[in-house]
Amino acid sequence: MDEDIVKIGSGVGSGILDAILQMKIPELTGQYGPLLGIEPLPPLSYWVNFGASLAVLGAGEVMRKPIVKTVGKGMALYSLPKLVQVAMSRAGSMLTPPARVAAVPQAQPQPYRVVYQQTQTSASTGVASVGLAGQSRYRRV
Amino acid sequence: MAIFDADFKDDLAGALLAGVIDGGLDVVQKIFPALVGKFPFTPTIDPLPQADKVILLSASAAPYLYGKYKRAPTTLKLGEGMLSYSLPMVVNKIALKQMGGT
Repeated sequence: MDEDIVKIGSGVGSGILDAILQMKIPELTGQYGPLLGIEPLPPLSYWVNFGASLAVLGAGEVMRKPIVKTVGKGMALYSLPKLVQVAMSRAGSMLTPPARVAAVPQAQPQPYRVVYQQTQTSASTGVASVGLAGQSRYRRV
Repeated sequence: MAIFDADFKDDLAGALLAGVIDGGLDVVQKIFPALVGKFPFTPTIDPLPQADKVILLSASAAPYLYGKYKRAPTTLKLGEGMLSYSLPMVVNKIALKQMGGT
């Protein structure tokens, strides 16, 4: 098989592993805070993915198996730029000025409508009925 | 080091270029939220991600195919690196959508 196809294919595998890490292990997705408390750094799942690619690359280097090295390179070619991309994206979120965020048109909550309900008691049955808003039903005295 | 041979450096340069372009597009989208919904930050066919990601994938495939058929090794390696980032990125977005993520 072509070496470049192996690289791209193992990168795709790394992308799927990334998605699984983000979806299935919530501790890694950053909801418990960014790595080391440094905000623009990506969450732990991306570092785990990068570490996995480095482990495969190192294993290929130690075992002297070129195909394992190629797979590790392909995984690293996805996971290393992903770290850069996520760091840039998070830094962009930090740099976003609040005024511009406020300028985004958002759905305004509807103002409260006070609806008065009026009751009517039937003289014959003694059952009170609830009237709808806008209808003129008044209690008979 | 044996890992960082010349071919891998070209690959890595291409992948980092694609990652920086992707991150830059994300930054633009976040700094100018009014651009959301406008080209290239428009939604595409359902499982596919936003148009900017699909355009990045196409732009990565172009130098790869050019280098493959014109037998230009540097362009091929650069395109291979870009494709090694952008194709998994699109697959990642599709997988996240299918698994119920964002």
